[in-house]
Amino acid sequence: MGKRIKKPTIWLYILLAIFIITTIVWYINDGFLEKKLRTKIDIQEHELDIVYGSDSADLTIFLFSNYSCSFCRKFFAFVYPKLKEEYIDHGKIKLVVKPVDLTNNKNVINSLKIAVCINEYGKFEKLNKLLLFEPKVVYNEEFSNLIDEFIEKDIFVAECMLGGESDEYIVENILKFQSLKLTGTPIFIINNKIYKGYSDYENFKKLIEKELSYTLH
Amino acid sequence: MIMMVLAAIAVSCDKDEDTETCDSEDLAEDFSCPVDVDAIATFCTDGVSDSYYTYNGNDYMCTGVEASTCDNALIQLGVALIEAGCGTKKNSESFDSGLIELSQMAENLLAEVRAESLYN
Repeated sequence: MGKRIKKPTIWLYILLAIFIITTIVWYINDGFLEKKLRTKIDIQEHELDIVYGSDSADLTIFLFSNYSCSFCRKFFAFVYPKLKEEYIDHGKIKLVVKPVDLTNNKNVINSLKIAVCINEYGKFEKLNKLLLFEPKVVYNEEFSNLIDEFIEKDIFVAECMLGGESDEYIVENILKFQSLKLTGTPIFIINNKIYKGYSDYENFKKLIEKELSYTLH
Repeated sequence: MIMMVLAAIAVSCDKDEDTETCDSEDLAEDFSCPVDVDAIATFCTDGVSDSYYTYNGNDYMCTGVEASTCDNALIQLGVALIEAGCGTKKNSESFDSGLIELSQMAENLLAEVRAESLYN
């Protein structure tokens, strides 16, 4: 006949198990394991990045995005305005947009090049609005003519478009995107953590609060 | 007990074997193309989470969280069709015909971009 385990011993095992599980949960919530799990992602700002917010912001969000991505446009239509009002304008967040081309189509690449060049050397607001509203404009002849006009009229834009600066930047972005084994946009990188896909403002806000708290700790 | 918990987690994380199915469609037939054009798009799915378009040798992921990449495949197809002189409207159902024709709003924005983007 097997040895009977006394009831108090069983309760001791249960209490011990509860204690260990509670300790593990506590470590996870405290960020102890999370810090160990977050591996360093080599991503840095480039002078052609499209940046919203102050350099002294508490948190930097890198965003891989492109205009032909409907969820990226949805982010700028529905999430970005509230994000700007609540976090960016208060110096809490800096959003660094890295345009990435997933199509290898010359019209799309040219549109990203002119976007970063105008952002750097001109006034980007209207062009950004057009590309967000109607991304297919890049296949229109008028848009190609417009790029030619900008090149003809502005020496800095011309140098940016034709001198290799913007080409190198767009290639650098796609290489970085691929090196991280990413396949689609939008991609957010915050505190060395990759977040894939669109989420509405309420969920995005929760994520930001979590990452801000991680940063401030 | 902990071993039991860990075993349960390990079992729940096991992924079912992929059961992928693919479906090809020749869009050139649908758009009255005057010449032969490579517009065969293949859509594959495992019926759970992973699905993608294959076109022109490239895979375009099309998952729930990355549905935007479907747009990229469709744009590639749209450009191929337009360059081949195909119709901009699908024979059977309406396709996005805005690839080259701009709305009035887009025309207005384009004019604003032209007027307000340079400092000089």
